[in-house]
Amino acid sequence: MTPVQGLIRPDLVAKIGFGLVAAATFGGAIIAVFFRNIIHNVLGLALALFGVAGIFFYLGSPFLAFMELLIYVGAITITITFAIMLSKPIGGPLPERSFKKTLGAGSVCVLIFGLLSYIVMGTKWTPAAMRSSDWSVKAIGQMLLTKYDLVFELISLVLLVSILGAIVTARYGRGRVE
Amino acid sequence: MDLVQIARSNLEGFRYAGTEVALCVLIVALLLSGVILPFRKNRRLFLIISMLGLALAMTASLKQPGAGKGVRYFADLFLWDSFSVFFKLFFVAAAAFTILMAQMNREVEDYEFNECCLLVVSVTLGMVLLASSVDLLMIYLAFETMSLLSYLLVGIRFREARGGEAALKYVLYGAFTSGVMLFGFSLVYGLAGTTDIMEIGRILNSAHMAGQNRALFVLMVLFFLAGLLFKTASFPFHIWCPDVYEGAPTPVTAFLSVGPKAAGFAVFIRLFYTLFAREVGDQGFAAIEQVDWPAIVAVISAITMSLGNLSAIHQDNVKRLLAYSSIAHAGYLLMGIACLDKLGLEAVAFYLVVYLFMNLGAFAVVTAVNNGEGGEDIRFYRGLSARAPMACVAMAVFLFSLIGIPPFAGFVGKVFLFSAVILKKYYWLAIVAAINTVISLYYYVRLIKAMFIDQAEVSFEPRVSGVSYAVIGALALPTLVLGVYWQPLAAFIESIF
Repeated sequence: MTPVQGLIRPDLVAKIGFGLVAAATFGGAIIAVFFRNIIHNVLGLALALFGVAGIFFYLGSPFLAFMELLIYVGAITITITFAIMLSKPIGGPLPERSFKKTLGAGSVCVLIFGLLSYIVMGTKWTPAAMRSSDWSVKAIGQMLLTKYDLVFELISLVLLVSILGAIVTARYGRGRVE
Repeated sequence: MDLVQIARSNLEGFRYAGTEVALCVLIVALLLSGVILPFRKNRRLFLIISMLGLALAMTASLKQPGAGKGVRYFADLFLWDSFSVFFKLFFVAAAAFTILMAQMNREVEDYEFNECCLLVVSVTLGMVLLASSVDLLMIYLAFETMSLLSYLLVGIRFREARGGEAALKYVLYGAFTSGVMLFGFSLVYGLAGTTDIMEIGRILNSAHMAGQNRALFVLMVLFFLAGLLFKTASFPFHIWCPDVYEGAPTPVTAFLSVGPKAAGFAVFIRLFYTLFAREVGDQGFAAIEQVDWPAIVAVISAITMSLGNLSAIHQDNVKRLLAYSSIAHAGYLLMGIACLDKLGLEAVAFYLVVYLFMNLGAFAVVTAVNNGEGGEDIRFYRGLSARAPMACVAMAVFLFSLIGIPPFAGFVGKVFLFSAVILKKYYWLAIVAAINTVISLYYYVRLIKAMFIDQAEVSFEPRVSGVSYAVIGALALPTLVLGVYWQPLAAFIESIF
């Protein structure tokens, strides 16, 4: 063992890593809710979702972590940014934030958080049946194409029809321009 | 399990998935025929293709499983039992009537008809999968297949302000409620550690759960209810209903009021009677001890029907009126679910069949009136009987049946529901429902009075084509026949639970 290796203690690294992940989640959420510039909000949301991906990684599910990055950070925040860009110009005067509304929203959130944590803490959860201890991407891929192949096919059908629907609703003045 | 074995068992599953396969074939056929340009506006062609496909799907679902608990197929994700067969037949019939109505409807333009058929059939596929799935994963996916595609169906006239608003409202409410329901699913999964609902039902109803947190069970039930009450348009998630029904093309409205609503009830029964109740004796069920959900459902049922009926009184737009009426009927149907015995479930299934005919019939007449220079406002119905007597008589039959007046089918349906409720000693609920029936008399009869007694306000030519008359007749006939000769249907329904 080299002296450097002796200095790095794996459990400490893991703890620091988890701290970073939690900080990213929490900080991102704060930015997403409290900042006044809407673009900052979206970036805060992206940061929070990065943190959530990290939490999935810590829970031993790298596949879900990658999906979180791919779908939420990659696709959804970009879509939100596009929606903001297309809706109205940024930089106008912001309306005053009403204290009453903030208080109301805050107390509802605290209530829900309290209720959920009471339930999560007070329940004896059953771990998922260990059909296999292998939760790797390879195993998930194999399941998708064997046991869950119908699910897989159905998702592709839904996507296909949704794309058609998006085309139908987005194309301008069809049939009227003839 | 090795791959060959999995492949073989999946292939075996196709023996029970005839309806699903037929609908998939129909979807592909519609897609392919829709891209051939010369056919683009050929309504009759798409109608024929759809009818052939749906007839195939209908025959494929006719095969009845014998006695026993049914067969699992496709990696145990689906169950082939008489319950799912009943609902498969129901959904395919609803789709067929909808496409017939859309064919004669002028709100759906020629170039949109192919997409309309395609979406109706795809939603039907979602509903069919939903009726037979017994795995939380598959239930959610089928639920979303049905929901996502029905949002599109509502928004098919997206460029028109009303259509766009309706679609957007439907999406926003739908996304929120199905998200909440998914959270409920995750709680159930966390508690039971499996997604198979039969297995979860056994675990939740076992003695192990006695010491568990009651708050968790209450929360689970409430989260499940959010998604299901949205689909069935019940309180407190009914607010979208009038706007969506008004904004969507009339055939689509008709489809939403029976198809996805019945699918909501099907999955409601499947989930609640499997997860949160167990069979006791021959006829009854017992709810789990942790939460008295039948009482919650009974209260929601009373509020839903009162709200729907009271709001319908002031409606001058016939589609909005029928929307509130459909909320009220969701309330009546929930009574049967709250009963917690087989009699109640049979009453729900019977009423759904009756509701299919009478409600689609009412919407078919609305479509026919819309097709002339008429509109959806009650003004257009004043004095209509002089110009379209047959349509008005049929409308009167449908409306009397919706009220529940003998000798129409609605009466028999209501008798079944009321008797189930009274036998269960829910007297207060029966009284609320009776008062509601009286209230509903007012606004349905108001429409009948407008058609037969009032003087015409707007003079327009209602263009009721031969096909329209055929569809209206095909829906009026069962509404009349089931009112006097319901025995075969009642016997069939008795065999499915």
